[in-house]
Amino acid sequence: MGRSLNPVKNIALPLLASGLLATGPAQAEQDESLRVGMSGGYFPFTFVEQDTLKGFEVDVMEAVAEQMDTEVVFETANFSGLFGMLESGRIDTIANQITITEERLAKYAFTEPYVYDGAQVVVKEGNTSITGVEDLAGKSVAVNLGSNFEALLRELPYADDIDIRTYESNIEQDTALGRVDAFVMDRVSASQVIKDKPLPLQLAGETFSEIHNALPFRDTEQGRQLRDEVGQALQTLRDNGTLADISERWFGSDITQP
Amino acid sequence: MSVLDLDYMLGLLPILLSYLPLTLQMAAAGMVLALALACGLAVIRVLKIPGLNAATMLFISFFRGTPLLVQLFLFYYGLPQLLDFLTQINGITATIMGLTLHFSAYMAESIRAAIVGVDRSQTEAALSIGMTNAQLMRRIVLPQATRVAVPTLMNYFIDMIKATSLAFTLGVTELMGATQKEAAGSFLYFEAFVTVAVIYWIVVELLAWGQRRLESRLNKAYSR
Amino acid sequence: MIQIANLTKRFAGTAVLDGIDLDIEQGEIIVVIGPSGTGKSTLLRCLNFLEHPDAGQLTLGDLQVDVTRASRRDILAARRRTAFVFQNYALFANKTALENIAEGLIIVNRWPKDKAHARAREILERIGLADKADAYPASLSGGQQQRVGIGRAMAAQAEVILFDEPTSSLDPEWVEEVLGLMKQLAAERQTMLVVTHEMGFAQDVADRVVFMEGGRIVEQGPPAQLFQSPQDPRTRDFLRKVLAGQPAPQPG
Repeated sequence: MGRSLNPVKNIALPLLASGLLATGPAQAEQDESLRVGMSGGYFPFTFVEQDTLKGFEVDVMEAVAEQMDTEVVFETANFSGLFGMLESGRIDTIANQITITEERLAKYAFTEPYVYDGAQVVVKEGNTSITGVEDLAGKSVAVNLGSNFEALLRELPYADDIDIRTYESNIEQDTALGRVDAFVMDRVSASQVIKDKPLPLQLAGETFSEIHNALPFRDTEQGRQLRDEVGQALQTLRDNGTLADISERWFGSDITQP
Repeated sequence: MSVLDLDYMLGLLPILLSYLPLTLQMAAAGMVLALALACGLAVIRVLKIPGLNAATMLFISFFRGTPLLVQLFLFYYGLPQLLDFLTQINGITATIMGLTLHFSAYMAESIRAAIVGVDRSQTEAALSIGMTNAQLMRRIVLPQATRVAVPTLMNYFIDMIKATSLAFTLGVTELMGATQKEAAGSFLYFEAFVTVAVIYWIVVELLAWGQRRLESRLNKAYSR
Repeated sequence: MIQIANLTKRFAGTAVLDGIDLDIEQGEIIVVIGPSGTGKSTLLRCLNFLEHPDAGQLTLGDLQVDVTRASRRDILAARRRTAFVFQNYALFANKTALENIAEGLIIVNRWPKDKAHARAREILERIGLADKADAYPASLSGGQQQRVGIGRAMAAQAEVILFDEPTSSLDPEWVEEVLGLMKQLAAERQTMLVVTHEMGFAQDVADRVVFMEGGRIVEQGPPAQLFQSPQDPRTRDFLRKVLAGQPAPQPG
């Protein structure tokens, strides 16, 4: 279920010893393995505890790889680097709750969604001035850089009155500290954050948009072929109940069904 | 979250420390390569070698004039889309190359200034007794330029250690990347970042101590 | 024995040295005088190739060079035959007095370090700075620095030592000790070509005084002759102006 991330074991020393143009392990295993990028900083989908990478995405992708009878290699990077890694061919796909949008559909080949969720406003505990998305006008709202929630907020009729702030990480922390009035994130992980973590936060109102999350691949012949294989594996896992099991384990409910 | 969770920090410390070697190795490799490159660039600038001088000035201008993160992105994500073989470069190598190019531009200017700062009459004196240009540089100019440049170069090395934290954007889990991910797992952000700050701080203080010793050794030769 | 023939140097088209001819016998002490900006220092710097002359022939002991065709090797050879004493001393700041003197012997003449240091100590003895062997230039007085500068030139065992206004940068209190050392060298018949404004030194020490103006040698002769009965009106004019401010020799 977990993977050790210790770099010394994996990559660092041989690389530095062998000089500048060494090739990475992911590259060496390119032909056999499914290379999956994730931020490692998105609880409970992908995160690290005691040096071990864990989360819903990790379990799903390991199940997919097993179904495909291949190995999975996880590459963690800042979210802002993930799509660059995908486009430059360093990873095959991104498992980081990537929401399907028009722009992304035009650029990448997506599998069918494997998570159905909604956008959720979260505020500091005790905040009564925001009880849902309709109260966000005039407030400061944090979203994760590169996530789809900024676009969702911009579609609101009063978007110009919202002070949208984009974060690389730590949006929960800054909301709990009162630096911003609220953050927007998917409902599932937001509920999880409130339940499991020692931060004074609460959900504000219902979800305000349906979001479908799936795995993006490069829109090339090779990419689309891999997308089809992974998609097939996902369908099998959905049919045999594995996806639902993994979801129940992490969330206590099945978020993989529409 | 009123008090620091010390148990968590103590547990986190060995995990984070296991990523310190990678951080230091990237910085050390970057420093060695940047120094070598910077010396070459500085000599080109000092001697005003035709053609190369203009190219060097352009190089320095670009790498000083754009943020390191932008350079890393261009290097790691942008260029590979144009030049296929660059996808062979992994994140660690790309980080080292990025640090090398970026910091060599700054260091070249420091080294150049240090070389130019050595009293011109000493150069003439060395030539007048029949030294070659190479002997002049090795025996007279570089030892004095080194003394002037060392404090600045050490500061760049310290900067470089901290700049390795950008490597996580290229998928390299170094000290900072490990901290971010652990913090995401525990939501004990404050504890995690205090721990990593202390690690960086101690490392930099150790280096600063070494720097002071080196400087006093270099200065001793001038003050008797 | 040194021969300079038709030595010419131009800066931006202007001739700073306009065909200088000068022979120097071994053991001869020549003092060059003349107004500022008249090419005296340039003459010395061209002999040492700190400036590259535009035309001329140089004979420095066994070395003959046509300056327009001087190779790198010729230039190094010329420099080894002409030691230079700078107006501002130009000591190596990262070397002790001893090392300043020994440096050329070790690096250029490839002497073993022990031998070079032994020679440097002898020289320090002669210039009266034996106790300053391990001192760095920054801790020496101007006079002491210039004596080390002269010691460095002595170590080179060149055909000639070129003195470029060796006392001009010194505080008055240090001038005598430097001139004293130069007189000592002169008494040992060290060949010297000295550019200076110290007319007393020229009078007392020089075998020959050369008066330059406008990049040319206007007049030359033994000091008694040149100071007492200068032939050229320009020489007379110069001496009248200079000696107004100095005691020592009276113009004739």
